[in-house]
Amino acid sequence: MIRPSSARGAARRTVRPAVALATLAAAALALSACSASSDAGTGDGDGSTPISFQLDWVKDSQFSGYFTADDKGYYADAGVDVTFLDGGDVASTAAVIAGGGAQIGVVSNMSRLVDAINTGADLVAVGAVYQESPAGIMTLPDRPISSIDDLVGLRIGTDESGTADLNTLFRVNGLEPDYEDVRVGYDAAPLFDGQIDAYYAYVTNQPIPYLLQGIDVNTITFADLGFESYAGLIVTTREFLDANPDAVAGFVSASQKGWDDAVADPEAAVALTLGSYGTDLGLDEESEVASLTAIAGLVQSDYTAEHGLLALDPEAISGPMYDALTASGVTELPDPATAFDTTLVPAPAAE
Amino acid sequence: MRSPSGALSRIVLPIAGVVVLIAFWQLAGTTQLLGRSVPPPTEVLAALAERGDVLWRATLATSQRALVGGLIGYAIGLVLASITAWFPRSTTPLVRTTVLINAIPIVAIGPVLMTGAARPFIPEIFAALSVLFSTTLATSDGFRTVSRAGRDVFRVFGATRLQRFVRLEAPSALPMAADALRLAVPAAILGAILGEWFGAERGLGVVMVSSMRNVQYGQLWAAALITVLVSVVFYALATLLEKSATRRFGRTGETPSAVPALSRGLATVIGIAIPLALVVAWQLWVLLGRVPLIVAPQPLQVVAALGDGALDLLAAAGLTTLSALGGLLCGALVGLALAVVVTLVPWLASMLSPLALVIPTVPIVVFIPVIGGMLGYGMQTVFASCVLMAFFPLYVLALSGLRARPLGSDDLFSVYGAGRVKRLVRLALPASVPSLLVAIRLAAANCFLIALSAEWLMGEGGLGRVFSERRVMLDTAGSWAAVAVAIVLSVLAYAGAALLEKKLLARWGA
Amino acid sequence: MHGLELSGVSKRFTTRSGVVHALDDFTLAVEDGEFVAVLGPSGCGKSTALRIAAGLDTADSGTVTVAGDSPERLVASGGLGVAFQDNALLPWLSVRANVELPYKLAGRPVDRARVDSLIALVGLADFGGAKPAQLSGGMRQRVSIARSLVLSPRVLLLDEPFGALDAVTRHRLNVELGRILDEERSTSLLVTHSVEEAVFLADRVVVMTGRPGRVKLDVAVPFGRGRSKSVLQDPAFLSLVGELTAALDADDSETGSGAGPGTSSAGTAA
Repeated sequence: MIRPSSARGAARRTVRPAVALATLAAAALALSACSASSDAGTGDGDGSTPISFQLDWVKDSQFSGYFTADDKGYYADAGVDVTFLDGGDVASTAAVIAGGGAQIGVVSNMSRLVDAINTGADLVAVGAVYQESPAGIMTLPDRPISSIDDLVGLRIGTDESGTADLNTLFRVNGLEPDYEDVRVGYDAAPLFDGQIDAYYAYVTNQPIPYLLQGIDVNTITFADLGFESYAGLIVTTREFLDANPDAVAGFVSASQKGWDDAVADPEAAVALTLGSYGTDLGLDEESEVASLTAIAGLVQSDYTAEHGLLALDPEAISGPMYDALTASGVTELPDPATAFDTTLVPAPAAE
Repeated sequence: MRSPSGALSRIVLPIAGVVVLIAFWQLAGTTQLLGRSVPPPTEVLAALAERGDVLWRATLATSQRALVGGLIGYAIGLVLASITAWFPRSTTPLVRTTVLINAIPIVAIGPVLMTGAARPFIPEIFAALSVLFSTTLATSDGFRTVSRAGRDVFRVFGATRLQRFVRLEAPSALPMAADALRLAVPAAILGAILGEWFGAERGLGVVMVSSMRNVQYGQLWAAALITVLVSVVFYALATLLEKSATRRFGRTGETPSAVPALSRGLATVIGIAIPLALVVAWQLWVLLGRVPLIVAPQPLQVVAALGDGALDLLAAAGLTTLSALGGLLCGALVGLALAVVVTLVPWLASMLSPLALVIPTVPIVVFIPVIGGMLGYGMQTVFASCVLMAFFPLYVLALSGLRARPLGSDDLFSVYGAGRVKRLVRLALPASVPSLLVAIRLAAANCFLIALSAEWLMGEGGLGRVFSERRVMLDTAGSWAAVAVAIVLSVLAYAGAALLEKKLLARWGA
Repeated sequence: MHGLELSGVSKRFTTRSGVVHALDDFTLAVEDGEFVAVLGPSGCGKSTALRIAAGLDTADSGTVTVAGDSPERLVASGGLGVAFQDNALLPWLSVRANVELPYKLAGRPVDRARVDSLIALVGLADFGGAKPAQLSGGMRQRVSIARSLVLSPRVLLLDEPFGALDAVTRHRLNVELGRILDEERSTSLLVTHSVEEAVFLADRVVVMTGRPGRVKLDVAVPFGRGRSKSVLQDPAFLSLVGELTAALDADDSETGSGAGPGTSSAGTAA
């Protein structure tokens, strides 16, 4: 911004960069304000309820059921106007929902929901995508894991939430955590480089690319190791639920339809995700299809066959899942009747 | 100190440096010398070709955020620095406030911003916050390089305050303001990327986290490479500005005059009043905004958490201090050594310059698997990250400092036939002391933040790890307590460096 | 009416090593249009007196009147010119822009003809576009003097303008300065430690004591304006220089830093 010019007016020249900077900044701010406001969902005139829906990760195929519901107009039919908010791992979705940043959102698992409620947040879960949590353990073929005893003393690579989950896993099995916690983040490479013996992973996620490359790995979910938990919980605030019972019920039933479609046709759901929602992530289609297929296995259960996808089983909650939470050291558990509303997921019509 | 052929040193050698770097990278990638998370450049190129559209949109989005946020932060920094020029007595309280604000880790602010109207602008806000402090500090120092004689001239000719500012102080501050611009480039880009992790539809940060989790190493490195290229381009522009500012407005090696001293009583009052005001504002915000505990705790809840986990926090603080201060020291030595080498051996400098620029601009998340792969995961990797991040400001300001000489002194050394080394040891190094001390002060203010984020991402212990574990469990009071300890340590590190600077400058003869 | 009057001025500075009495009850009057030179040993407070007259420092006690007004008022009206010990040129401005600066600061339109003639007057006609760093020390001082004169100040203060220069350059600049000042006819106060310079340029020479500074000797110079180099050889000039040098030496020996024995001949007030 300082260009050589005549010797005169040197002082004027000193002002120019500041003016240029300010102009640039103002222009750019206006620009980003415009692009931002076009993103924000606003309710249209026909009486539909606007809902910001907070995802707990970037828009990949693990949310493809929701995207399907949106694309096929199930949400519009149910009278809700949904805006998807991208998530990351660095902030709690429960905090965003409780703080009013989103009306409904995904909370990753039961522990996080209970932790949130115990801070006084007025949250209620109205459904769950994963009947069985995808959290699990990935190992090389020469070290298969079939029980908690196989994990004792191992060097386990974790990400931020892995440590808490692993500790719970040990405690649920009546053991004190006994492993070497190596914080490696999202990268499973240390497993292959021999720096860790096992890797905390979502079995629907990290193992897939390796398997597709023909690299054999073992996986086992925490549920198979005795730690049961719903995951991908659909959560709102009690206040919003009480004020908008129809909108929440509409959102849940429309989401269920979307998930039905996605489970029935993972290829289509992935194509939709990559083509219209997660367009800017550079996702690999083959991996995403494999991932969604793996997800479909965890989304469906005997219980959902009878009660519909996303359903919450009150007995499973107050039974094994609360037992696991108690074992993990949570002393005060919220009343399941206030923390969960199991009535909003519609059962499939009898055939 | 010019190499025989300008074109050779300016064009051929940097290219040679890049070629050597790429050759080594290809070797490491194909042999998996540095672990399997380092893909060979050919794989990265393939990803660039295949995902060109995605990466291009990501680049535009992130660049725009970094530019907007960075320029806003830079402009605010210039305004704050100007206030210290107009009202010198405001220097201490203003700089202290920016030190305090700078010490707040942005990972702790993010969740708070996510619930509010500022949410779409988190990357811009982070970019702005990342450059605010160094800009304010360096430019404020720049304003104080105005000589007393210059001030006298303006007084006896009846200059107004505005005239003195526009015609004397601003031109004098420009070289350091340009330095601040250079420092701001990688900071703004990293700030924007970090902000994107809090949820953005597109951007290089988004591509990076998604690629990492989906084991798309080629794409991950392609995004990282673009980040580096964007940094390099902006940095080169900032360097051009800096060079032109230095040429036009002179860099005489003039030491910033002392900050006008406040009376001990007033300084104490301000020292207590600023943090107190922030705490009161925080309390009011929580109370009036009905902010739930899961978003932000109240001050007293944090105090209680500090008391509950005092021993854990103390142990963690010890570990973090080790990484932060050790990293600062090693980073400072590495940065100074590199600047000296670059000054002494111009052809090597030309070869190294791309590398020296690349290291600090590579987003640390991409480096973690690499450093982890080489050093193993844990404290050593945290330490290495601290060194890598601390070395940059030292390098930049040392390089500028080494070019500053008292008027005519270069001629003096020529007269006595002093060689390159003598000139460096007896002239350039002593003359660069003020610049170096400013750099150490800047790096000291940030060393705990760097240690905190490194521990957060990959630490076995330390405040960052404690913060991370408590954050995941939604123990906001507990995680803010860890943050509070880090803030105190940051401020202490800055105060310590400032004290050191004062003592050494007094000896240096300022 | 006096052109410049310092009356009963005292000034103390607090430094790390204690309180320094720079001036104590210092009184000096310069008539309208008169040129007075102040001589004194290093650190006697002569520069402080000049800074007080310029309004750069304020006196602890005593009164200061410059062209019938306070220094601040004179400065505000652009009626003061100062040439500093170190030239204090702005390194980023050209010679011409440095000389023009006072116009800009006073908010007056630049008189290009006057700027040109002053630059020519100080012998820098070919260097108007040069930056200070490209000039020699003597050239920079000449720019500084041109700058101090550009607004035709009613009062001109010169603080050892040639202090850092070699004897030859200094002599040449003294001749030039004398010629310029004859044309300008400003009320002038020169602070210097060169006796020859003082006698050559001034209508009246004042010798100060060591710290705290007071007037010790006040002598009229018996030559009219428009002095040529030949004055330097005049016996009256040489004897006056000798007398003043002796007065200075006496003071030096008193303060313990003198070089040679002094024969005091103080007391001839003009």
